[in-house]
Amino acid sequence: MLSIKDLSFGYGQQRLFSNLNLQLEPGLHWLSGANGSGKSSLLRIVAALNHASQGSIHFRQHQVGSAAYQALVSISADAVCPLQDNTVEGILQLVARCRGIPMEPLLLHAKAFMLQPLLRQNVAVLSLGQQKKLSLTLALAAKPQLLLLDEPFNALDPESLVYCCAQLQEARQQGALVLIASHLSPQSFQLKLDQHLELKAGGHLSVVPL
Amino acid sequence: MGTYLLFRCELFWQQARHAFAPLQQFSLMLLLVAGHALIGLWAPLVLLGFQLFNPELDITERWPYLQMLLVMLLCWQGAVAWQQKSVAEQYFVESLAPSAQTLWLSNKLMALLNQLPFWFFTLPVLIYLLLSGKTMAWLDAAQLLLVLLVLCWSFPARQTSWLALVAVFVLPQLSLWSLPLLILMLLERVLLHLFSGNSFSAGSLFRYWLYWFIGQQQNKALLLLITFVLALWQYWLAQKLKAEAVVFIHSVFIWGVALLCYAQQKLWQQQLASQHYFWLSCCTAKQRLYLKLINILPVLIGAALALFVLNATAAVWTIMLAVVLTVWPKVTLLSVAVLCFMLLLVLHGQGLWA
Repeated sequence: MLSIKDLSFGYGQQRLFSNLNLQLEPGLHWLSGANGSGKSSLLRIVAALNHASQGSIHFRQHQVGSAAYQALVSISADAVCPLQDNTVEGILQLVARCRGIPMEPLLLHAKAFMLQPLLRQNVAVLSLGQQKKLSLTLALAAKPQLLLLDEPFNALDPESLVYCCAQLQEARQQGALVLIASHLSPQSFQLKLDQHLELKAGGHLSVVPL
Repeated sequence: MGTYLLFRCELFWQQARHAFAPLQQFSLMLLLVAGHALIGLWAPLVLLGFQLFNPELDITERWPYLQMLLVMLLCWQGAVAWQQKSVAEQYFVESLAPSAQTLWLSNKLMALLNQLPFWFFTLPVLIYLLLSGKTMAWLDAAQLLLVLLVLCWSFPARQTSWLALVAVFVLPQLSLWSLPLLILMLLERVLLHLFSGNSFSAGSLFRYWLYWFIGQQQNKALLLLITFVLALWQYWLAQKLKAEAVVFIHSVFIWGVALLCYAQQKLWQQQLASQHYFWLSCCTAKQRLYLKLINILPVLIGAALALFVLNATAAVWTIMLAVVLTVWPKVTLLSVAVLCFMLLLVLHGQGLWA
């Protein structure tokens, strides 16, 4: 279970959340909200990339930032961009090495996302959709228990969209907690959601009926 | 943890190699640069070393030399800092860390690696000062160590530069000639405050450029170097300037301006390239040309100061080199310009030595 307690965060003088509380069970969760409501920042905080000024985050009793926690989490977001001056293959190898996973699942997802012909290309020359596919490949291949996806469906072609949704359903069936932040309506996608939350200004969360 | 630390080291090495990639394309140019470095830097460094360790000088007389050394290194550090990854790429690198502790440790280690030139140049000085057995030298060593610790504590280049400047210019002695630097720091604060959050339009190109310029580490280093040389010149005028000191100031100034102009030009071209379609959509062809030319402004200011500080011949060549380096994106012409510049400097330097 993901447990967020009394979370406060802001950029300089601008405060995004104050005392945000959230408890999520494994499953597929959709987090919507207006632009600037703090969805992406919340995901980055949960991924230990940003640090909250106050509050605590635990996943399966492990504290955010601990080695046990980090081994369970993966994030795909536009703000988490693979190194631009490396090849696609180089990035796959790098993630395989750092996360201690074999290359096969990475190559499998890359093939499904039609990235295989681009393995020798530099990341910088990939299109927006191709960069998104690479980011999803890296996040999915690690088979994380806590999968954080920020606007995962933006710029994806229809085939990749179907594949991505299928992979998220599979992750859900395997007991993972998938948190998708998006400003889009979840009805547009073939996903069986467990919960739909809306984040409003100041960090107020409300449950939206499915 | 070990794998991640190794990856961070590899990344650092890759960044360092990319920083000098354009130079590696021209082996002849590299040779000439090395030659110029020997001629241009040998004299000031020897003088610097001699004066730093001169037992006849007291602490106030030796500090300017130490300050100059640190300013040179600060400029180098600024040059490395320009290769920093974007925030999004940093997030990616950080997302691969096995734990927050490993991330913290690797960031600190990279900070130390990033400051290697500081340690490389200043540690021998520190050891010498400590072993000299003189009370005043120990005081120097303590101050130097303090400066180094402050420099290495903080990884972000912006913080490092300001801390370094405070340490270098304000701690030793607050004299009249450190005022321009304080004014510059205040000016930066005011300008950043004024421009923060303001939107840019095609009609406010200068404002956009100024905002960008102020945010860049090596641009600040360029301005500070110019101000510092000016201040040092005034200081040495009062100390009855020696011929070696002329070479010292001359070489450091021209080298600093040339390298920083190159760095600035590279950065600005990258900035324009990354926003190519944005500028195409909101500027006319003439405005885009202005956008490129506007980059000459700081160089012209530097060159005007060069006319004041240096002799006329050196200043004219500094201006020409700086302008060419600033406006021309192609490495071929860049190398030709550097070649001409170096030949002239060698000839001119020989005249000075004679």
